[in-house]
Amino acid sequence: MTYLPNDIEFMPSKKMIFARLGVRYKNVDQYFNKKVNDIYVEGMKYSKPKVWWKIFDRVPESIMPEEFSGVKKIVVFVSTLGKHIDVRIDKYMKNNEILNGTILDAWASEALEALNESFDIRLRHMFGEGTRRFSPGYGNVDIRENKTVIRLMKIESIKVFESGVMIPRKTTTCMIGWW
Amino acid sequence: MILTRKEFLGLLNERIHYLDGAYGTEFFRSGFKGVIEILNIENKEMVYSLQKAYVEAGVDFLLTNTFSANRLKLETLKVNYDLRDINYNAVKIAKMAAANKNVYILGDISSTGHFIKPFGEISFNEAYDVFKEQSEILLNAGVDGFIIETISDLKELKAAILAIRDLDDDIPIIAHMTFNKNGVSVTGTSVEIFVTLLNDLDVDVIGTNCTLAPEELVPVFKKISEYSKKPVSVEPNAGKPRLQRDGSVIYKVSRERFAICMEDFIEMGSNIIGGCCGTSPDHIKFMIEFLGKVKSKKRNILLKEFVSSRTKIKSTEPFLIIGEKINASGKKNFQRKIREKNTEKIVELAITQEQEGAHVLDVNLGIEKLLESSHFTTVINELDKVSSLPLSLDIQQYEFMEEALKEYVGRPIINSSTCKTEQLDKAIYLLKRYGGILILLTMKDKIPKTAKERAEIAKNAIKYLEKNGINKERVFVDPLVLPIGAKKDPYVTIEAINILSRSGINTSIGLSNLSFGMPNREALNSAFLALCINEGLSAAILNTSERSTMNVIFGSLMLKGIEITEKKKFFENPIVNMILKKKETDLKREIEKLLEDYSPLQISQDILSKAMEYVGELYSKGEIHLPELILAAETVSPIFEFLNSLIEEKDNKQITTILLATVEGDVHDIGKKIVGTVLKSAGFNIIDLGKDVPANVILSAIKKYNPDILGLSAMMTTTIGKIKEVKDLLKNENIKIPIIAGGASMNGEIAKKFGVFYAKNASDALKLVKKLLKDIEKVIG
Repeated sequence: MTYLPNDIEFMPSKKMIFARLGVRYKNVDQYFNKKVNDIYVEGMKYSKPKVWWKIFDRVPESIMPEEFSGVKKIVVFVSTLGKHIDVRIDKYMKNNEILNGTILDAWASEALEALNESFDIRLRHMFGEGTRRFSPGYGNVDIRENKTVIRLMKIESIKVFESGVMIPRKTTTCMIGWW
Repeated sequence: MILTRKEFLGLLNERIHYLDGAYGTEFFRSGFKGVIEILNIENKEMVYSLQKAYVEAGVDFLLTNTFSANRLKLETLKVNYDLRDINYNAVKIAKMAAANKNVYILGDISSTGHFIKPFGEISFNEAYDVFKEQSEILLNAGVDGFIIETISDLKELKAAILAIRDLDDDIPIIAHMTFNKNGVSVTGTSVEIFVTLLNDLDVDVIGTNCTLAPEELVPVFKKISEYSKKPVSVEPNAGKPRLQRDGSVIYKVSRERFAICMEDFIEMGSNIIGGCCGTSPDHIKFMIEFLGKVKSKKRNILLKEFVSSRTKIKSTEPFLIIGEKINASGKKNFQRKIREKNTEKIVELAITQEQEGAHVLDVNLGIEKLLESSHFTTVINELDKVSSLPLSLDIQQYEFMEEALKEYVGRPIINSSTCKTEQLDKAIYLLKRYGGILILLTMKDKIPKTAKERAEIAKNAIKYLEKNGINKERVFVDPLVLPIGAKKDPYVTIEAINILSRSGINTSIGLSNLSFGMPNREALNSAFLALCINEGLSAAILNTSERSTMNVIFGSLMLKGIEITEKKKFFENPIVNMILKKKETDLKREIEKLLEDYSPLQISQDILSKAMEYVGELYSKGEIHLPELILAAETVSPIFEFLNSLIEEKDNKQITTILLATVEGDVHDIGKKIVGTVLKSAGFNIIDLGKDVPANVILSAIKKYNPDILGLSAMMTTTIGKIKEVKDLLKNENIKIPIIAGGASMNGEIAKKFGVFYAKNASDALKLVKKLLKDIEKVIG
């Protein structure tokens, strides 16, 4: 199943963006604040967020978190902001507009996190409390297992390197289990 | 639902609350053109639909559609419907829209559209009555609270607050002012002056709205958030209006950007958030969904105390220098002038004392039995006109003190009260109603002899004041200086200062009493002051001409490790100084001297007009404020008239004529009047056709007066199209004349599309006129 989120669902708090950029919100000057606002709006324009999700009784052993032991149902979901945001960040970097590129990258990371959080809440509304949200790279699941997840979900538009890095870059794989 | 102030503040304590967005721009977007309050009678459904949309967007407070529904504004707008019906229906419609939802109704109050004296034609009491009349209808119709918004004059805001509070002392009030980007209102009041007065006045929330987009409003709101001791609120515009190809007007800031920017206000601790011009239910809905109904952030509030006038603010720390010279006691000539309402000497003393380094001016008009309340209001208004320092109102009779406080713009010193309970009760009432700082004399019926007794009596009075809501930081205790010539011991005062200071109580003295009747007063005063400051004295009413005394202040404080840095506002050009300090006589004398070497035309165009141009630049840079600009214009006007009378007829033809008008359908002309005053003060001949002027009337006037330049003003987004109409009409008639357009809804982009020039403000208009004249000269010459 795929889900196309509305704007609010992937809009991160500016506080989080500033934190990712290593700046305290209250110390931000007008110039920098305006720049972040500009980039924020631009990020929304270049993002095409999408979530693929499926309910499984079981998942392959290699991607099964230890904390999920005993769960009866697992939802795996893959979220992405799409490829255009990558292109835009790259363009800034190539043009030596490093600050813009850095802000957009920080925004995109936080936007993806905001999207995961919104979808997480949505799933819990449907299925109840569940385990905490889990992604490869944490606990006992190797980040390279992203490949397994993408294969399991049969998503052709996402490419996974052997390293576990995914293209589009602003993509994550997540799981939540229910007892 | 009926909301008490306690319940209202309880709500704000729980989480951030949301106001609705714009009304006017939304109705205009739907195709309505006209006075939107009429819809409360003619098209209730339209108002209901918009308000319902705001309710569905998730607002907590819905405003009534009554922004302009006060008697004066409706008269200006030529609305014939009954004021009562417009306001009553507004509440009824809002209540229907909010039915069965947890939404409260706020009665929306805004400007009368007229400046209050001294800058306008209406009195404080008239404004008060107009606000009271509207508020009473809204209150009886069942509003849960009030919001006073888009006010640019602190005096008008005070009138509105008092009017509402006098009707109901338990109804919540949100009080807003509107500011320019530099954090100063068009009448010269800074955010700090506004907030520090509103901290005292009986309102529940302090905030700002309109004029600026969210990003521009951040620095303004930051100051509100720092200075306000009460909950804070904000309603920015969705940017500046922009004209579309089809003639409609849009606001640039999208709902997404608006929401993102509004997070800044949450970070700064806002308690209430909404939208002003250009925001729609969509903006508000999106914003609420994005920001959520979270708890307000705790703010770091500045706890310093300030005194202020309309345009000047002074911290009471580290030491307050109060100039004593405006004191008519025992001065027959001075008293006579006051009785005749001749304020020349008072204004002169105000200017001199400021130049000598005073922070505050004590005003004592002498024997009050010979005076009426109008003497006090005249003096206060005249000092307001010259942008004076904050005042210490040294007034004995309670009725006069109340009149003076009503008229005063800013946070004054109330000088003074004894420690008698009846007097303290009166002081409490005045401090709560009008704001300010109190000088408390350490006496009841008699002055205690010992320092301990004086300190004790003051401490008890402060306890009483604090119990009644006046904190001790708002009190300066005067331990009373008595004349040494009458064999009084000055060390009693010094000891009392020591005791009070050690208890964290501010102290102030009337220094010159010490040396009354003695020779070499300056030596005595300065020596005594040094001893007092050493014991912790925090303020003194003194003679600022005494250089030793003034030096002692700086020296004594420096020895305590405190440095006072003084910023003085003097300009190199003596003519500019005379203009800004309203020294009409000196200016005329200077001009007469110049006439020995230059022709009247040369002085008019090359000297006086250039000086005014410089004054305009000072205004543009924010170094002087609107009242000072208007005053400067008023000061030079008679001088120009004098010069013009000397100019020969052939030369008189060289004087440029500028025709001004507010376009048809628009009744706003305060800005245009200011432009006219400034242009006139630069030596131009101004013909003002007034407001709501049809294009064909403008055409006839051009044919009649043959002006060099036409200036048009349009305030509303719905009337800016009329500027194009005038331009097209003149084109059809083959009349070539430069047109300068201005007004809140105009901008450079729209002007360019219309083929006219754009001036943002009066100073801009002056520069533009000069540039245009040079261009014309080049073409002709």
